[in-house]
Amino acid sequence: MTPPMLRQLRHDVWATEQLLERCRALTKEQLELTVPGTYGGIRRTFVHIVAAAERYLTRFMKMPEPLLSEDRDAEATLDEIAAHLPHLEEGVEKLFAGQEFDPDRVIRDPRRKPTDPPLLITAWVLVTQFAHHGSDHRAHIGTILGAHGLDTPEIDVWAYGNANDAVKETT
Amino acid sequence: MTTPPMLRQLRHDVWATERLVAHCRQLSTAQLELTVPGTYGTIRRTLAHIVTSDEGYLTRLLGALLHDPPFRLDHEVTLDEAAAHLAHVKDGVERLFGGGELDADRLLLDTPLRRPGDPRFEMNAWAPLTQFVHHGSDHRAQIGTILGANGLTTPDLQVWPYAMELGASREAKETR
Repeated sequence: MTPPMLRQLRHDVWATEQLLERCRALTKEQLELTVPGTYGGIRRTFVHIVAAAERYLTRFMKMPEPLLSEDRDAEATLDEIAAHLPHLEEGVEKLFAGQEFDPDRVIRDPRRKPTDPPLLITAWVLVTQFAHHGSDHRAHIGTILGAHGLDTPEIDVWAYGNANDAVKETT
Repeated sequence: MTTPPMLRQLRHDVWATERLVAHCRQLSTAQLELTVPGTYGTIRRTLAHIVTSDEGYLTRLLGALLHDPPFRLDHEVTLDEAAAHLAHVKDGVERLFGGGELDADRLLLDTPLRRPGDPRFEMNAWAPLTQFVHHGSDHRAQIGTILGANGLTTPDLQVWPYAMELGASREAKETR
């Protein structure tokens, strides 16, 4: 059986890919659109989704360098952001490959400020946040698109299930 | 015994909705009707939609109604009503994982909620399970946008504060 949590993370990466593909049809100006109450512009929100997802995975494994960074790559193009998506796909598969994923493993996480004590994070926290965070910020992009009269793609699990033959209407 | 990661995910989801409902109790009746373009609708209706959908996913997964009559969006759902149904959602989530990890590949042939004339959908159990989580975060984010756009405070619904509450994320005692 495929672990349900792996299904969740696969959907998450797929949804980001679908949304990013849809946004390739936007102009440069449209990629900078935002609405109050969201994270920011569409393009920067993508940077944040992907950079955060890479950071979650680095707590478990070595990820290809350089990682995407909100500070360093604030001006990254959609192509540059999309180039990191295969890293997420591979990372997610690797996380659940081989021996069973141990959700109770405690991970020592150094802080940005070296004098702060490290955080001890239980593994399930990171994978749970991965899925929550992606849906949260993709919703921001969906709101920005909708508020500006632009089409929003279907990125819920029904669309994903249809694409993977896991949801079927029967007669 | 290890708690299945997917159960952790669903528990966080219900916690986040509960916390958002509690936050929204401070709003006036007029504020609960606020919305912004590009979202599902008003705060109150979006919360009702989250909870009725959660009950729908669980009904399909458990193969039985959580209660009769089912909770549907066929009337103006109050915050109290949505909050009361969250208890059913919480209970349903725990029952779903009562035997440990569930069989996510199991084929679900129908839902007890289907009305005569509605199409029937077959799906693997992982689909409504995954949708439960995606859907909750998606619509709670919309409510966060509505609150923020109207100058109102938004609660932190991420997994970090949830994990801190449970002691699953904490500072190490020593410095490096």
